Amino acid sequence: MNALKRFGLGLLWIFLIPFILLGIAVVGVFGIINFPIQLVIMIVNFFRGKKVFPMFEEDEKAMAILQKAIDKQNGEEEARKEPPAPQQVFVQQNYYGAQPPIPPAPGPGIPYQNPPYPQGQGIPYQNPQGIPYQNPQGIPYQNQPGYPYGLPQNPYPQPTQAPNQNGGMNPNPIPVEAHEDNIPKIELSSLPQYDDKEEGE
Amino acid sequence: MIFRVLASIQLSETDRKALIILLIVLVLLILILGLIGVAVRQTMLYQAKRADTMMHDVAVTHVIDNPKAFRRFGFKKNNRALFRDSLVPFAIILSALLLWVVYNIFSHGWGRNIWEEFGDLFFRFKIDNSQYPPDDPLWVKVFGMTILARWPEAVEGYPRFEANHIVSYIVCAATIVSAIYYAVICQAYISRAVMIYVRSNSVYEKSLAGFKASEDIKITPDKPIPPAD
Repeated sequence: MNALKRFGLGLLWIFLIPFILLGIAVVGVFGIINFPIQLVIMIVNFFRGKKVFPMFEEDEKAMAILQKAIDKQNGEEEARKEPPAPQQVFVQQNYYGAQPPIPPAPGPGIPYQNPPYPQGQGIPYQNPQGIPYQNPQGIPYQNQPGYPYGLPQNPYPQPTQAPNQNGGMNPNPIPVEAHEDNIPKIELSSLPQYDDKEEGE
Repeated sequence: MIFRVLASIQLSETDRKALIILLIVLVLLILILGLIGVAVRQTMLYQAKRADTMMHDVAVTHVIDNPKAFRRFGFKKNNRALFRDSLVPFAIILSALLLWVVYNIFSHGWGRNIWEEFGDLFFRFKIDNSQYPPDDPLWVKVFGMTILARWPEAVEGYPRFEANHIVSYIVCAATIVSAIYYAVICQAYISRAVMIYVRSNSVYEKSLAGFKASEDIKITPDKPIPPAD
């Protein structure tokens, strides 16, 4: 089949070859005239210290536009790669002479959350996880006795929970690692709701 | 009727051989031309891509935004490409010419036919009918055409190499090679020129196919489009 196709194309080329050869002859003559002209331009550029084949003006404009687009894109990419550093606000909560509210002992399966603060020691608030202070509920500063710097805020806003969900277990427990040094962790402003019956079970 | 006419034609042994040779030569010629055509087509496709590469940046950046400027710029770039491509064949032919001039200066052989000396490297056949007996000629007339009756059997000369003709061999071979190379380059120039012309029209053409003014919501006119007449 290919041979037949080539045969057919060959017949076509028999008719086209004279025109093709004529075209090649015309371009050949043009090329012979064009060659010395371009050669002279090339030699003049060489002795002027320019590139032998310098870029055309249109190509230079196109390159400038493309370079601008690349620079713009690189600028945007750098901005995306390095977002502005989050501002960390450390809130120092000192309980001088007053004990912070001690949460009830957690029931079975509920992770230990907040060790009691040693009395009399103003252990400053520490933010080991680098979580910035958040006040999502917009609770204003409240000057309560025992809380000279206002009520401690809960930086981990918890969704409102329906009572007795999951058998009273907190479906969104705050993961806290137990440390022997008892570094005080983040104080909860709202304590999880537990049924009295389930405590200690 | 036609079959009777055809059946009545009686061909001699020589005529039959001539027709068979003619058919074989014709088929071979057409196949070779077909292959050359394939090569030409592949060159055109390759050069068309090269033309696209030459004109891409100025088109996408809208440095050139009309067909006339596109063709003018394409012509300039194509001329430079023709010059760069033809450096090799011109270098070959100029070197061969220089060699021939220098050799003739030293050997004083300006009147020699270098092409006849180049023929030493090929077979030479007796192609004149007078060199054959009348009952077994080389050329016969069949249906008004003079064609070869058989392969020329007598060989006048076998290929041989002569050391004092070496410059003729080099110059002739270099001329043939550079001529073929230059012809291919000229064909490439034509291919690029055709592609540039086609692109100058297609790149800047606008089409209203599929556009419905009543459904276009990107541009909100001041007043509703009136109904067509």
